[in-house]
Amino acid sequence: MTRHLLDSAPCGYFAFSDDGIIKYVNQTLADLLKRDTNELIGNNVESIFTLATRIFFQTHFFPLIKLQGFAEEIFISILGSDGQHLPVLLNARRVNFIDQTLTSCAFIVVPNRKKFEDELLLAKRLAEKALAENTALMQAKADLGLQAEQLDRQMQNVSRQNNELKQFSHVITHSLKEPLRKILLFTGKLNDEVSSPTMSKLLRSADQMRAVITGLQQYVWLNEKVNEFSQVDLNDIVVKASAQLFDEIDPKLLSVSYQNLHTLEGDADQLRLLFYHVLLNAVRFRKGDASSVTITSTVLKQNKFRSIEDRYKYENYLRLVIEDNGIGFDPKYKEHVFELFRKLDVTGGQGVGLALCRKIADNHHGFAEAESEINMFTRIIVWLPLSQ
Amino acid sequence: MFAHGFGCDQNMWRYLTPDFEENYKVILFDYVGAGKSDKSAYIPERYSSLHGYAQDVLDIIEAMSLRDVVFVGHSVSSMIGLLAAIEKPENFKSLIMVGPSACYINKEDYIGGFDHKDIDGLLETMEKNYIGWANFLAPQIMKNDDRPELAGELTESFCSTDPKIASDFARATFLSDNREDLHKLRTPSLLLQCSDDLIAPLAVGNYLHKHLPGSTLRVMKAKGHCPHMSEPQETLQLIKEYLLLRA
Repeated sequence: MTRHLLDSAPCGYFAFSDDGIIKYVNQTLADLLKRDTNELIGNNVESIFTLATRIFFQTHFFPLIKLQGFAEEIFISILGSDGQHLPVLLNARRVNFIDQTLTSCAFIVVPNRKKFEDELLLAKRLAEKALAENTALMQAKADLGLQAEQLDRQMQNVSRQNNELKQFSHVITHSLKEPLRKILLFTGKLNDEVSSPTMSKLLRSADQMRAVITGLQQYVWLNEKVNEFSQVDLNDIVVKASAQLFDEIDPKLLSVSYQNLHTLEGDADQLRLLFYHVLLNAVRFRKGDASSVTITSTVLKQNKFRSIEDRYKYENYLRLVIEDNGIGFDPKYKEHVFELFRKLDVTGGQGVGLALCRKIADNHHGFAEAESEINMFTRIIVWLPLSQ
Repeated sequence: MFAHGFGCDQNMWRYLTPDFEENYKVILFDYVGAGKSDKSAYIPERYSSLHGYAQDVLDIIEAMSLRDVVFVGHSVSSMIGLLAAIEKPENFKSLIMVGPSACYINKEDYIGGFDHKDIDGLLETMEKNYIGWANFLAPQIMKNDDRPELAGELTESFCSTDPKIASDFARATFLSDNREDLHKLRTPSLLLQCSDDLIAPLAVGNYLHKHLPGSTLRVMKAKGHCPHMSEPQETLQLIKEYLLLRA
């Protein structure tokens, strides 16, 4: 009797288990699909849905019913006998039946509601689009005005600072260089005449000063240089930078391994200088007799906007990792290592190398990071856009 | 770290997480726009591709200074985890991908399972449901006979994603193509492939296994796309076995 009522009910009814198997369908549903009830039972419940409904079933409906125990007024489409999509409105509830939990579903076919909703959605979409465009436009206008003011102020600052910096750097590099050259020359002569430990110290100090000035000169050069971008094969650059370094140090102190580095749009001279300094640092801060450096590159998407908040444009960047096995440094200094003349270790160097690297990354509209663990490794990570 | 997939929020992990609380620091989160996240932080530009979501993962890792992360991602979160792990390999220990797919749309000789018109149909189905769900989402005390432990707050939060955000997420998910990123992964991964999964069929699982260096593929008895909800025990067991083997 009840079975007869359910079979002739003016709504479709079906129940399925957690593994998706149809356990029961009523006659109304079978008639709608022009199939036999026994033919439907045992099939996967998804087989009676359209493809879009299947995705929705897996991503929304199943998690919802599983966590919440019921779902109401769900709009989905059932696949009719001749492939047409039947829009239905469905209620579902989890029930314990004999020894298993079933999801019990009843639905009505709502072709007219679909028409109303289509109209409603169309109107809503148009209204939203107009609103969004208007809001976005107003916002963009306000942002633009504000940004223009900020930009102007910043440009003034930058240009003033730039001028001061230029004058200052010329004083340092040129005006100091000449007297220093003379000091070195005369101290050298003096040393030939009266050799003493004090004289050697004097010579060493003067030499250090010359190295600092050379570092500064390179920094100034990077500031004023007009970038000359071309397609640069990093494999070649590493070869050149190593060759330059091996002219100055014992090649036994350093082994560099890399393979299949990428090609990118960059300034070859600057990139060579970057590798030169990172490799030089690896030699200076080596642990034991020799330093072993591994260079790898990966292409990744990275947000192009670095300063303006909440703006996103993902573009291809090269993530260049140069890792040594040296004495490392305390990770809390990972920002400080890029500062000019900042030295964490007194044993060698002038503290310009990484500042130059950051400057070179800046010139390429990229950025540089450092990671390290004491007595384990130092890892310099440079992000460079693939194209400028 | 457990990352939910499209169409859901962190609640979907509730059958798995208790088992990890003893030996791990368990991190659960909702992507911006999902669950109880701060909707005002949603920037359409950022979330127009999976990279914005990967940035969410990296932001959490940075804010909490996490190392040795075991990242468990469901569905699209597998690829989000992949992108994050490629960018910061140093922070990840392993990736567990539940029902992953590198690309959902059929392309040339790649079978993802769907065509553009299927995705349009899904977007329509979702939109239609948000009309019906307006009152459905109103806070109400939930009666739950077979799972009384699920508290009433669920009704409020679950799937209560903003329709615009949900449709953006659907587009970012189903139109994504990460096949070119697979070979860049250096982190070991476990692929949990369901049998009979419409959204990520076996062929897709095999494709991933072939192209992901250091991956382990396990085909599950669980059917459908949510094994962590339909067969939590089997899912737990496979994850634990994998973590034990790698320990």
